Amino acid sequence: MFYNGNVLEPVLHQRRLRILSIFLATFFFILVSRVWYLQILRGSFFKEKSEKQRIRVQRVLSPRGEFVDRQERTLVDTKPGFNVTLTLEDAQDLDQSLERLSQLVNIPEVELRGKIETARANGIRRFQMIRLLSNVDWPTVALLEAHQMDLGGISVSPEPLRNYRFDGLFAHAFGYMGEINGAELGREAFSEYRMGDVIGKTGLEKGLERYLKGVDGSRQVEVNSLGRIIQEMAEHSPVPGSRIVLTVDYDIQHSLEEAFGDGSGAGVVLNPNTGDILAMVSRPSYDPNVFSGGIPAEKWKELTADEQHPLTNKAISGQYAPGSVFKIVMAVAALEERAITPQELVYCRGYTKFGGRRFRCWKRRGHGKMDLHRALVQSCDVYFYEVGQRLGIDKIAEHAENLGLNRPTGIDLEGEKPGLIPTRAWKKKTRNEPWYPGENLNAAIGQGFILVTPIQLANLVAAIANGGTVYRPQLVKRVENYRGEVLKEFASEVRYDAPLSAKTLHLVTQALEGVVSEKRGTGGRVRMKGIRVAGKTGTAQVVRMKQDEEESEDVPEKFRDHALFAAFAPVDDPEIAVAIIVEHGGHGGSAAAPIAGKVLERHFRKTGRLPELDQGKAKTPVERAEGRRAVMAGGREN
Amino acid sequence: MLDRRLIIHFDFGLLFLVLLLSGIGVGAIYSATHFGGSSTSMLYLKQLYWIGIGITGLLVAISVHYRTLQRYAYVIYAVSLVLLVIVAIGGKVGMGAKRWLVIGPLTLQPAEIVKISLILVLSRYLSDLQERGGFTFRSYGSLGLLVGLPLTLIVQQPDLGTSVMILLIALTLIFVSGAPVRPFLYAGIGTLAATPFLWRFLKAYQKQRILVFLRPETDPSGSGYHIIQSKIAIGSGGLFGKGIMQGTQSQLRFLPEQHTDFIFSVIAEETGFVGAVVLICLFGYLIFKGIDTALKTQNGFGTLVVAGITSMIAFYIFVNIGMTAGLFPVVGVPLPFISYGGSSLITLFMGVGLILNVRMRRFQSG
Repeated sequence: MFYNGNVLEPVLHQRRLRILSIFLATFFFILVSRVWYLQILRGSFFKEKSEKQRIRVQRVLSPRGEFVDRQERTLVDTKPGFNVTLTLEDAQDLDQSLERLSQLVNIPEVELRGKIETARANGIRRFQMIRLLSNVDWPTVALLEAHQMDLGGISVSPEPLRNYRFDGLFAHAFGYMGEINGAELGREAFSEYRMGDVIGKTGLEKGLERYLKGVDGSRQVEVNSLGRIIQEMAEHSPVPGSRIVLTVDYDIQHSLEEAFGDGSGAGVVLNPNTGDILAMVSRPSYDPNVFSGGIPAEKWKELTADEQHPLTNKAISGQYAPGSVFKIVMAVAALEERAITPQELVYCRGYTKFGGRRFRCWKRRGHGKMDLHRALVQSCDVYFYEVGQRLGIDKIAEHAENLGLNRPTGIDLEGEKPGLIPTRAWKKKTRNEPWYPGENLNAAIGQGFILVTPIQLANLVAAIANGGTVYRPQLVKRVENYRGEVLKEFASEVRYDAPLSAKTLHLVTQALEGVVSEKRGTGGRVRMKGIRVAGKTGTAQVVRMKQDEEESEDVPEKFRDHALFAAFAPVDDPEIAVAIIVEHGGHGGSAAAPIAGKVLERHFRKTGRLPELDQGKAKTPVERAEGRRAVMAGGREN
Repeated sequence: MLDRRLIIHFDFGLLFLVLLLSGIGVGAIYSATHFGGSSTSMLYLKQLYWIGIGITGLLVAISVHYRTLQRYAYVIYAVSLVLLVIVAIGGKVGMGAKRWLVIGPLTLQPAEIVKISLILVLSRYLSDLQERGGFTFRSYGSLGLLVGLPLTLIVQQPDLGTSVMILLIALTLIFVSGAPVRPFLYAGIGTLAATPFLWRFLKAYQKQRILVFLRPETDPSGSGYHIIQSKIAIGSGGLFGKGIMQGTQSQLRFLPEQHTDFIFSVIAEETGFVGAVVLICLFGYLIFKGIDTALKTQNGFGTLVVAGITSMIAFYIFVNIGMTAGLFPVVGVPLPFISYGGSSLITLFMGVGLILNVRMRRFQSG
């Protein structure tokens, strides 16, 4: 019937509302019946179903980003590894499973139970995996698979392992991996991480974690009552971590590592025009691969208890007296402050008397008449004692700081030390003592309070090489995502410009070249045909010696002097700067310079300025020089 | 000034009921998104924040006299249409559909606002018909235009769930207003007959959903998988459930939308038949209150608004629970007050605000 009149008469729409409410009540009745049907009538059927064919969502870990060198040669990647995991819900007989596993892998049951307890304390859910063993080998995987019927709830799951292809090469810059700890889990930066995840603990692995990590994927799998996968249902692929292109050159790094041999110490190679780090070594080193699958306790103990601190990156956190290398700073300061003219002569008779004390030159017979050039070339202490007195410590410190000393270089690695250049104010503040004039003399030859890090030394010679610019040393050129798109590019960064006059630079560079090229120079062992190298040797006392005590080879090694050498080349258009410190190596010229020489040689062979080495046969100038020097060992320079 | 009588007639019980349901929702979201000690999702906190905004919306909806809303119904309707058009032109695309409008920090779903504005405008139009002398041939055209405009815009977003809801709400309002039933009955039969033709307008995923609903077993790893897993989750809950936060099906993240559209499966699995029925009864009481208000209201516009909102909530409950229990296809409709999500929560709170508004002013004349 059609209504044409008052459609909204109360009676009619009340009736319609009643009809509506009957409809709605029916809806609710249907819902309750349906739920009753599912939960009560068929409840046991579905319960069984939910227990039998269980769907799990497993995480698919993203492969961590690679590290490649400046020529994009892979240095660090990932390789497949296997973990043994436990899912509590699948373990019908937990005691039996654990007992059997303990027998098979020969690990005490208490240790396994401890892992479960820790996981429980951290709120693990019954259907989540608990990692019992990390990085098990193939025979173990096979063994566990063979006994899987006795190992309900225990499964072997793949996990990408960090793979440092060249073991200890560049280890300190890379850092190492480790399991995330409770404190880290609490931090905002790790909100996406879970208990048991592996993260970068030190070095670049730590600093670049957010780029390296990628995004984990997930996979839905159906498992049977033992927790074994029956079928895969769906997968969200992980997003691989980003690739890090380093500034490092594998060839240079390799030659530096090789040249160091078993020695302890550190070395840094820079491009003086950009601050790019071409190589960086700290010795003794360690193999970061041992951390990748969880480091065994005894191995960790061994590394941390080692007196030579293999885990410390000495290139940035080792602080050493620079010894005579500091004379570079002294020469710059003297010329800039006009404390001495290049021509002025100072007579060296082997020592200087000051304040009733004798300050010796390393050459006991004395150097005779010395001007600035000769004093640098022959590393005459007496000459620089004089310069030190004239300048005073505060002026010395001012120029040292202009060249990047007494403060961190700003490299993107944790744990960099600032070194130390004393001043009057510093001594008053920290020791509450005045500065004694005699201490100017110690400072002048890079002893006393002065401390530098190897990377500061490299930066110092780089600044002399490039005309006074102190760059922030860089390890990373750019970050690329897995599709090869550049996410971040690191441009070279100038930290300070030391106001050096062209004349000063010219004089100092000329003298440093003399150190290498002249007959009496202390750095003759890096001499190379056709390439002009500038450098400075240094020998730093580890223990203060009595005035007339002669150091000899039978001094116990840990009291022997540190050997230093810093250099750049070619003089006319510098492209590489090196700093080497060999702990307890003895003399800079004989222990540190040859290492620098090998690195320079490798570099110039690579760039074609030196002929490529004929395997084994042709001796290079450096090697020939070494043979010669070996015969005439004995002369001591400072 | 707030009339003292308004406070006396204010239904605190209804307000409490809605807050209780929202609270259950927050708990269920917490349970559904909580995976192990170290990886707690913050979604439940966000839901609390949405509830806060929803309560504000509810208070706004109460404070304006519903007669004022009646006066401005066409304006509100026009504004919501403009928002829909803006979304159609430059909205944010999410999950293959253009539904969201970003205004500063807020992400709006205009389709939600349209539900309320359409109820207001239809109530206005239908109650006006009384004075103009009832249904004429032109009335059908006007109604078709009022409903058709937003419907077309929402269908092309495409949002199948909301489109169906809007159509159902409109038909309910027309029915309650006392319109003749037979023309609509014929139209319905006609539409059914045209279904094969309309089928061509559906997007591939919508066709897929309907097909899979009809025979879920044919595609256990795809869309049908949701329905199967949801049924297993509900069914395995049994009488008393597996315990809060102990559900094995729902805790395994077997559904991508377990804290939104499939929240009922989580509740049913963890609290069992007892919990599910308690929840359905709470909903039932809410609907009863709505119908009760509509029956007691003297004003035609007020009656229709309340009836519209009540049936909207009821349809949502029915379609959502029906979907999770395998009665309906998966159409992406939230469970009122329980599912995670800001837009629908705000709409619902405002809707309840309107019911409270009409309820406390039901004895006022004019």
